[in-house]
Amino acid sequence: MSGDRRLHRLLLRAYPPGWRRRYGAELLALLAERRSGWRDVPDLLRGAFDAWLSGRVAARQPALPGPLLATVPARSVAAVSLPVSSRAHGIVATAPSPGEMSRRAFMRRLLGAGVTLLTLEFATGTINFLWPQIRQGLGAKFRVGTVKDVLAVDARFANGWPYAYNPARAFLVNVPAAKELALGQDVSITELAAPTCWRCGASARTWAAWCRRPAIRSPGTSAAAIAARTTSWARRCMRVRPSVAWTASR
Amino acid sequence: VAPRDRDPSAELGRFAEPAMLVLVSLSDGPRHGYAIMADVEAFSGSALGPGTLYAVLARLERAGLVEPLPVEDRRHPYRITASGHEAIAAQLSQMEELLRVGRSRLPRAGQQHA
Repeated sequence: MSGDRRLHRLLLRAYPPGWRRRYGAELLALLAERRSGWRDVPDLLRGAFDAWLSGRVAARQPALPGPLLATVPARSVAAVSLPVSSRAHGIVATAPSPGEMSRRAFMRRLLGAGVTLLTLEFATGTINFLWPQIRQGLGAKFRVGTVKDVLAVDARFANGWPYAYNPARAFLVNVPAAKELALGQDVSITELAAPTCWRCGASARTWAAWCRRPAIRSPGTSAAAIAARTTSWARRCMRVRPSVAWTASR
Repeated sequence: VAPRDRDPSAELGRFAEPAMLVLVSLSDGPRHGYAIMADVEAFSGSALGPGTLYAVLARLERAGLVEPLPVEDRRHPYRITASGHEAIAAQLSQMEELLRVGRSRLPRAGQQHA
């Protein structure tokens, strides 16, 4: 089977079973004659979506008036199963045939699929963002280099601009220079005496204390819980600390 | 009775325009899908995709405006029905009216902007 035929058969599976039984063979014949390859894919997908949406509409359409009814082919009349309920205005509702589904069931499935897709996308995106390097996994340690190395890549680091180190999904901040930059001062600091915590931006002497401060406290939390959380936070802070400044201080 | 109940072409929705092209194509004789696409492209310059074509054919068939003929070489030729003829005639009349009104108003619109 050629690639195009395989593709067309795959696309045909996107259509409702009832639709495939009725139009599938001739659509495949048309596609084989057209030899359009991938160009028709968007159009066929739109057609499949429409077929799912309108598949049960036919059975719910109003009964055609007398003169028109005579022109409806026998096939269409036979396709309408016994009415489950009739209303005064002539709309006939039918139960789905085997292999078909009602519009409500379809919408439910569509909604479920949408929510699942969104959740998967969110989860994948989050893991992808948090996963610094496939080989090392979460919590990996990175050696960024010295201040000199960073300045060689981005000289603005000395003026207080943050340096983004993408493999670790981390920003390094030259805190003394950044403070001056925030005040509108034009400085250039290339010698850092103490390491900098990338997470909280505090220097090595103070980062642990800073991390224990109110940012992670919440009302109603017991002292023990706070202690556990602060310890955990601080530990994480230390683990991911291999910043430029740490290396530079050695 | 709602107007939708009287008009078998009311369910065509966003496929109304391609449906009209298909009905015009079938007006001078039965055709199968590929021949309809080629004919529509020849007389209108609009290329119908296969997905659109079969979405339109399914709706037209449900509405009783076209009907399939016996299979020839895996393909159903389609034929316009009497109500299909009525529907396309009504559509063309509406378009003629629109054309007439538009043409009669166009010079006046040009004068207003002059």
